[in-house]
Amino acid sequence: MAVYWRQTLAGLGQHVAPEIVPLNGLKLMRRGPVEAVFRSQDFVVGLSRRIVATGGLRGSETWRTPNSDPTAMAGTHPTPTARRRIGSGSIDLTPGCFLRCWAVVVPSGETQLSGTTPGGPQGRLEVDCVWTDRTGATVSTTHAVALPASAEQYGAEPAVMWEALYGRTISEITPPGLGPTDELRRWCQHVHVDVTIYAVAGARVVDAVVFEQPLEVAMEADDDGELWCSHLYASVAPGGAAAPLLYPWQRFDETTPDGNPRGGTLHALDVHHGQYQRLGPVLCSWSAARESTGAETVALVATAALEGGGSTTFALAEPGLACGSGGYARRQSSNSEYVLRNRVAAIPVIVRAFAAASVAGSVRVQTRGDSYIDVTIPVGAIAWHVAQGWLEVGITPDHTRCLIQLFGTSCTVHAVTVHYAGGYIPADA
Amino acid sequence: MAGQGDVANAKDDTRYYGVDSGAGLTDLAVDLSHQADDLDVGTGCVYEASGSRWDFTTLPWAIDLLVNANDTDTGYLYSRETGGNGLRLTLATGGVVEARVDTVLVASVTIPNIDAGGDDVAITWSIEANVFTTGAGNACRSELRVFNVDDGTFAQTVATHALPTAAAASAIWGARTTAGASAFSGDMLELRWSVGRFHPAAESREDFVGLTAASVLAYENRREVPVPTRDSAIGAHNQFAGPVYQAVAAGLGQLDLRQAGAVVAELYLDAPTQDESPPTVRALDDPDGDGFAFLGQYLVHRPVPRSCNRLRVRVQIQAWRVDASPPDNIRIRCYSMARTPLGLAGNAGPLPAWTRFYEEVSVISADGSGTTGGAWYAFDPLRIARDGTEDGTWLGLAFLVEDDGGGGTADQRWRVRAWTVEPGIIDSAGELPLGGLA
Repeated sequence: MAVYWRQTLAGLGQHVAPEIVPLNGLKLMRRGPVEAVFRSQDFVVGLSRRIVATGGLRGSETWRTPNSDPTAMAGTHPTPTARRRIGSGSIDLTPGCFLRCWAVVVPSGETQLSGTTPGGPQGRLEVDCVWTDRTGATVSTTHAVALPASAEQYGAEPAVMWEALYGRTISEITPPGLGPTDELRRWCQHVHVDVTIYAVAGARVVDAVVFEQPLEVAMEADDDGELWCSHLYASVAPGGAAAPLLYPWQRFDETTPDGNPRGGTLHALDVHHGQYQRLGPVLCSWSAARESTGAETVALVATAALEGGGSTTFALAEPGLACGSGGYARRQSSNSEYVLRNRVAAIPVIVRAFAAASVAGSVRVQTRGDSYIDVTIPVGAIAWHVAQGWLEVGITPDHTRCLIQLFGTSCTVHAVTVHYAGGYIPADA
Repeated sequence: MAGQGDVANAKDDTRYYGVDSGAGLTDLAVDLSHQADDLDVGTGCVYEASGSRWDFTTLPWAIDLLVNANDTDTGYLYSRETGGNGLRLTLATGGVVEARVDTVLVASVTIPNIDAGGDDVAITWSIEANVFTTGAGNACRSELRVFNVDDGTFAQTVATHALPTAAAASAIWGARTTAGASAFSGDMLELRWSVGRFHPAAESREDFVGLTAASVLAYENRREVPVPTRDSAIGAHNQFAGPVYQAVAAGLGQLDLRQAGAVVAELYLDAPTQDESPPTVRALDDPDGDGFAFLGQYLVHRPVPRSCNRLRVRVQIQAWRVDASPPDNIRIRCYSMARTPLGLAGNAGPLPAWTRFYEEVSVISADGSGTTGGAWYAFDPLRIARDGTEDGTWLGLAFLVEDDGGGGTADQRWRVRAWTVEPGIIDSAGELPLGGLA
């Protein structure tokens, strides 16, 4: 018989670390300080706002959907069903967190039905997700929000974009049917999600971001200890009521199976290690999409920087992405002050590239001359490809060496995601 | 006898560490690790006839060597093989380092720029479990690396392969047999065997090539607190529960930033060239009246973890003039705002206050307009103006060009090639408690 616990994490307040002094030696063991440890363990996953994918103007000065007359020429405007990838990401979800999308847009532009027949100004933002549970089973969902349409002639954008910015939110991007606890628990097992943001029809997206948002978490009594990233000590929510602790070390019910592993030293240790193994930053989630042309990818033959600059090798002065906050995931065992002498940090990561190739190619994610991971892109259509490895990162965001540069060879690339993977266990393992 | 902590490169996972201090093999046989279990000296090699420390069937582990070799040196660097089982690391002519598992060549890498005169070379072979394994044939992931210490060049090969099969033979450094068969013809300077931890390239470089200069860091850092695992039995009945909870509590204090990653990670393709006259549809004079222009292509709305109180902002700017005059001063502000300067359209009710903070950098540079060039500019820590949800902030870049050295500002150009924002905590007063910061 399955025994479940669940907690609501939406609207969770701030993480408060428990007091250490009451737990020092030569003090009486009391319920309060111990309970504070359990409760604090339940706030940790609720801290995540990890960004999974972004898209939008991204430096472009012009839109894919022009201000011009759609009847003047065929093919100048998108069709009402045309979908453009404007950003993608691929991560393992923080257990208890699902996704939310914020978008800021200006009114959508004109479309063309066929030839030069106008389809009317219209636009949508769509977020496609492919959710993979721990058995490897996948579920696909699409989440859409209609965007305001331009009232200007030919669906033109307003004269000053700042006066016509609209905000739109897709509040809950989740797999279907999270109501039953067993289904919620299925998607709280450090599952994987591939996300793609689409601008549909004449959408003019200034900025869209899909990020993790705490919602609800559930676990089952016999779930493997290493999968618990929350203690699930209290009922309903981390701040809710809880059963009284009987003894400092003892779990609520030592029975196996179908016992109650919560409320004791062993479970506290499991959760601690689960959190440090499985929780960590998304170092970057980058896309090659360009609004000005509507291009979704960048194509490379010889080795070159993905951003289109002329660099072919790592150089600290050249453009890239930041990886200083990757240092927050420093591990005691592998890059403590003793191991790396507090000069640099290096963390295990998973790199994913959404790319295609007509001859085998590769994407390189590099943070120093001797710190890089190559993702092999086999011959085939565009898809996510993956590699494991270690990257040198900064210790804090202001560390002088904290730069990710992206290179590619013989491939067409849409997106690259890099995230921490200390205790990575792929689905269907 | 030196031990762990007495010698910098003898670490927690080191099971053997030998250093030639002038006496060659005699020195190398002295184990400077905490195991402090010396090897024997053979002909052209050091070795141990048996010993559990050489177990390579449990991952991860690492072999590190610092040698002096030239382009004709050859020989065995490390071996523990019996009847086709085990490990072998060799050097072939031309500076080709080869790693074999159960006699199968799994990885080879050529030492860059090795020459006849000889170079100090760090050779490192690290193995961990391949998390994407599809069967026994690719259960392991190896990184075989070489650093030419003399000129700073580096090469690496990554391979997947089977787990090596246990071998009961002697572990030998520097030759195939203890009698000196296939001895390494160069000089071994340092030898290290480590078990239980994957050594990334950064660690090998810091240990055997040179230390990276330390950074002065204003942001709070975080690290994992060492806590025993369940397997240690410290949490079992009849043990002390207090230390467990105390350690876990300390660990929780370090977890507030654990998932804080990039807020803005923009690496612009085809970055447009800009000047002092941006498209009017995109520009907005800043309401503060300082003459800056917000540009709409650099406006984002992003979540920021609630525990963070500052943002680290950097931009990579390439600047040049189209005439021969001295470069102008491009002032760039990064704003964190509670809302956009004019608010959002279609929202009923009064606008909330336009709470905002900004930091500024100044760019006076002649980088040219080529496909490379420019530099990174870091803003001082930016305070966070949170939006109504408390989860997010609006971030934007604003620009102002000032004449600097004559020639007017009309001919100044620049590109924003990258923009990054990362969240963190500044606690200059040292007053904020760990974890859970406002």
